[in-house]
Amino acid sequence: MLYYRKEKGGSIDFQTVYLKLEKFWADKGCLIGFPYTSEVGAGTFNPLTFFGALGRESLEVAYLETSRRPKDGRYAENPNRTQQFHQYQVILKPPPDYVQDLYLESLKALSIDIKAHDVRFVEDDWESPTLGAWGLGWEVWLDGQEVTQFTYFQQIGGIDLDPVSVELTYGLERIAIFLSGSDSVFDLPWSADKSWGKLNKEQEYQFCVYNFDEADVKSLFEYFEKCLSEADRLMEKDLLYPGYDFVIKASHTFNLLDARGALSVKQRNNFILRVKKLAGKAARKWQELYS
Amino acid sequence: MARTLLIEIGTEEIPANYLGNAASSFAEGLKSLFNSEKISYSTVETLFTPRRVTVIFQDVSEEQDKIIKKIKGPPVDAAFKDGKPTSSAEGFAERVGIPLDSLQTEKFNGREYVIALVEEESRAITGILQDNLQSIIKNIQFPKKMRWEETNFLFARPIRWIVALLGDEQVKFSIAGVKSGKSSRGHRLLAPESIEVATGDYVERLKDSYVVVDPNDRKEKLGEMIRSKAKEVGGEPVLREELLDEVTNLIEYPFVIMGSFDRKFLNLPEKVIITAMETHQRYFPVKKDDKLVPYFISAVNNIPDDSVIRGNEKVLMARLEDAGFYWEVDKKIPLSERVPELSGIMWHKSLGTLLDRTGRLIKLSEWIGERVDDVDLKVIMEGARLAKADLTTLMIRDGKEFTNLEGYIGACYALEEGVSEEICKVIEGHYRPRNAMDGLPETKEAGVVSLADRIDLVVGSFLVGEKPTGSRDPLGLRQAFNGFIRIAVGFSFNISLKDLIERSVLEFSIEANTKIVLEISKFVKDRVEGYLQSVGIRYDIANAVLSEGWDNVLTATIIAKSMMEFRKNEEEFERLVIGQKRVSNILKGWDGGEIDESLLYESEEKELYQKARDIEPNLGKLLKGRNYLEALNLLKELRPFIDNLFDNVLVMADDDKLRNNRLALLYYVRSLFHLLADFEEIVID
Repeated sequence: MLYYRKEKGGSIDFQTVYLKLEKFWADKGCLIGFPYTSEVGAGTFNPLTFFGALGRESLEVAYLETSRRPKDGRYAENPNRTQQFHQYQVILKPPPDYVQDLYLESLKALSIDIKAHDVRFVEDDWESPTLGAWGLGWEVWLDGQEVTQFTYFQQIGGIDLDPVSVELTYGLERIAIFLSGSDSVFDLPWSADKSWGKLNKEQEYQFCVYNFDEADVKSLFEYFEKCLSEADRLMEKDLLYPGYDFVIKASHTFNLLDARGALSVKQRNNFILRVKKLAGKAARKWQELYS
Repeated sequence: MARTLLIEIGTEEIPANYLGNAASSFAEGLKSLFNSEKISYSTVETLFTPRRVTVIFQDVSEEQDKIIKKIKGPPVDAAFKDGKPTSSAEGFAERVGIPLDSLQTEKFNGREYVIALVEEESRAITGILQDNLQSIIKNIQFPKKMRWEETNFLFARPIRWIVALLGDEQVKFSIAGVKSGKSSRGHRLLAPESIEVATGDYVERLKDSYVVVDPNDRKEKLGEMIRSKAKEVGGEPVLREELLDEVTNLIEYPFVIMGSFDRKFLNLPEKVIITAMETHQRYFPVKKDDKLVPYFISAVNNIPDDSVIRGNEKVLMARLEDAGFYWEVDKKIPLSERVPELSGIMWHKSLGTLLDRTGRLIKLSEWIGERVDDVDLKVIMEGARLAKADLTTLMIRDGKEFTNLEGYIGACYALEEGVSEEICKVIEGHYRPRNAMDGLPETKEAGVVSLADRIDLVVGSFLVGEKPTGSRDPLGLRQAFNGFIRIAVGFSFNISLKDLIERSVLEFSIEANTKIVLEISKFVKDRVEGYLQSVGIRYDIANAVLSEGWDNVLTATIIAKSMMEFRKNEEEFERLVIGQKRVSNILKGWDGGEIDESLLYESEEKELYQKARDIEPNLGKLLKGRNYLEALNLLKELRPFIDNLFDNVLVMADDDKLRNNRLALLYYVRSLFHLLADFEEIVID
C-alpha cells in the first residue's frame, strides 16, 4: 500500500528541492529551459545541451529533465533504482574558474551543510556511446551517494568542443532522499501531502512490466529501423530538428530492446554505432547550418 | 647558499590512480632540466593529494656549476711565427674575448692548434626555471588529459593554483591562465581559505589545514585507523593493497567510519557482497573467523558524524538490494535450462553463438580429458556444458559491478541447485588464470576445460583472421595462451599441441589452410618461448630446446629447466657445447650415410662408437622417465671420447670411404644430443 509519511517539521520535499535549485541557477543568470518532449535517457539529449554545447557562443542554461532508462527499472522494488527519474541539468560554457565552488554553493542553497558531510569528487569519465559524446570529470559523492555527474565535455557528436562546457547533472531524487531522510524513493515526499510513490509507483511498476516483459520486440525492431531512416532522410533535407528528434527516438527504442533482452552482444554494439553515426551527422549538420 | 625548491600544482580532483606516476614524471622533468643545466641538488620528494601534485628539491645550488667551453682556433704554425703571435692569433683571442697569454694549445688529428677555454656565463636558476616550467608541466604524464580553458592547455583536470618557491624567492610563471604565487589551499570542506606557505613549513602548514600531503603518511594512518575500527566489532578488515592505495588518494585527510547492514544480505554469495562494497563504494569489508560480518569500513574526507554513517549505509543497502534482486530473479531458472538460451547470445559473428561455443567446449574438453591422467570425464563434460550458462543471468548480463564475477556466479547458482561441488569448481575455475597474477584453477577437471576454452578462442580467432599484431591483441589471445601453458605445466598435462590444434580446427566449419596453421604454430611457439623466459630460462636454452620441438610444452619446460640446472657447472657445460658445435660445423654440407663398423680403424673411433652404443638404451629410458638432468649427465660422458677423436684422428680424411664413415659416426653421436635440444643454439658468454 502507498502511504504518505509526514516528516517531522519537514518542509523538504521533492518539489522544493527542484524549485530551490532552479531559483539558484536562475539567480546566477542562467536561462531556464524545459524538459524535452520525446523520451530521453539523460538531459544531455535535450537539444539545449546537444546543440547548445556546440559552437563558440557562450551559454548558461539550466532545466529539469525527466529521464528514462528502461533497463534500470526494478518493478518498483528497489528503494533507489527506477526506470524513470528526474535530473536537473546545467550547462556552463565556457566554465568559470570557480565552477566547483559554484556547485558547492548550489548544495548550500539546498540547505546541505557541506561542512558536516563527506562531499567528494570521485573520478568518473562520462560517455554517451549513442551520442558520440564524452567528457572527463567526476561523480560527486555525498556521504557515499552519487548525487551529481560533473563533466567537462570534450566532444559531442564526435566534434571537439571549443570552448568546452561544464555539464552538471543533479540526481534530484537522490538529493531529495538525502535531505528528507527517507529510506526509499517511494516514501520521499513530493509535496506537502503527496509522496513520490503515490504519484509514480504504479506507473513505475507498469512501465517495468512493459520494458522487461511486454514490449513487442518485432514492432520495436521495425520502429528502430524506421527512426534511423527517417532521421537520415530529414537531415539530408536540412530539417535538423525533426531529424535529430528521430535520433532520440531511435536511442530510446534501442534502450527498450536492450531491456527486453532482445539484442545479442554483436547486435547491441552495431545498434549503438548506427545511432552514434546519426548523432554525429546531426552535430555536423548543426555546424554546417548555424556556426 | 643552497636553497629548497618547492612547486605545488593545485588542481581540481585528479583521479586517484593518476597521481603517483604524475608526481614522478613531474620530478623527472625537473631532474633532467637540472642535469642539462648543471644545477645540483641533494634529495627529491614527491608529494600529492587529489588536489595537488608537489615536488620538493633540497639544497638546490645557487648558481649553475661552471661550464667551461673549449673553442678551437687556428693551427699553431699559423698563429705563432718565431714564438710571436700573428694577426691570426690576435684575431682569435679578441673574438673569444680572452687575453693572448691565456691561449693554450692542443693536438687534433696530429696537428697542433690554438685553443681557448672560455667560461660560460652562469644564469640565475630562477630564470632557468621560469623559462622551462611550462613545458615541464605540459609534459607531465597522465593516462587521459582534458581541455577546460581558452588556451586549450591539456592536463588531467583543471589547474587552479600554483605555488613556486626557490627559498624565499618566488619563481614567477603562468600556465593555462594561472599565475604562480605563494598561496596554497587547505582542505576543500574543512579549511577552504588560501594559505601562504614557505619552503620550510609547507608540510606542517598544510597539516594544520587538514591536508596530509605525504601519501605514505596518509596511507599508513588510514591503514591503522581501518584496522582499529574493525577491532571495535572484534573483526579484521579485508584490506586489499590496491584498494587502500586508491582510497588514500581519494582523500586529503584520513578519517574513517564503520557502518552496518542487514544480516539478511549475508545469505548472498560472499564475493557478491564484497564486490558490492569494494567496486563502486571503495568500502572495506570486515571478517571475523574468516567469515563476513555485517559491517563495512569507509574512508571519508570529512570529520564524520552519525549522519555520514547513515548516508553510507543507505547507499550500500541499495547496492545489496540490487544484488539480491538479481539473485532471486536468476534463481528461478536453473543453470541447466539456461544452456539453450546461449543460442541467443552471439559470441562472434563468424564463429557462432555462445551455444555453438559451448558445444565445441564439451567436445574439446572430452578429447583432452581422455588424454590426461586421473580426471573424472563426467565432471569435465558436465562442467563444460554449464560453463557459460551464467552469461544469461541478470547478475552478469546487466553490465553492473557484478559482471566480472562470471564463472563464480555460475558456480554459486549451480551449488544452490544441488549440482556437485566438483562440477561447480569447473564452472568457476575454467576462466582461471585470468591474468599473469591469477592462480590456476583448483582442480584438474577445471584445468582441462580451461585448456579447451583457450584453444577454442585462439584457433577460432586465427581462423577468422583476428590474430594479434604488434602491440595489438584486442581479444587477449596472448594472455589466454599464456594461461594455457601455465595450466599444462602446472598440472603436468601431457598433450600434443599439434594434435590439439588439429582437433580444435575440426570443430569449426572454416577450412584451415596451411598459412593459418603456420600462423598458429608460430604464435604458439612464441608463447612457449616467452613462457620459458618468464620462468627464468635463458633465451638461448629456450631456443635450443624449442628448435627440437615445442609440441609438448610440458616436456619442453622440463628439458629447459634441466638444462638450466646442468648449466650451473659452467665449465663442463661449455665444453660439452663447444664439442657439439665442432661436430655440427664439420657435418655442414655432408650428404649423409650409414656407419660401417668394419671401417672404424682407429681406437678413438671405435671407443666413441662403443660408448655411444652403450649409453643409447639408458638414454632412452631416462628420456621416457623425463629424467632429463640424468640424461644430460649421461651425454656428458661422451665428451672426452669426442674430444679424443677430434684431437687424434683426421675426420676429413682423403679417403672418401673413411671420411664418410667418420662423419656418419659423428652424425649418430649428434642425433643422441638432439633428442634433448639443438646445442648449436646455445651461446657461450
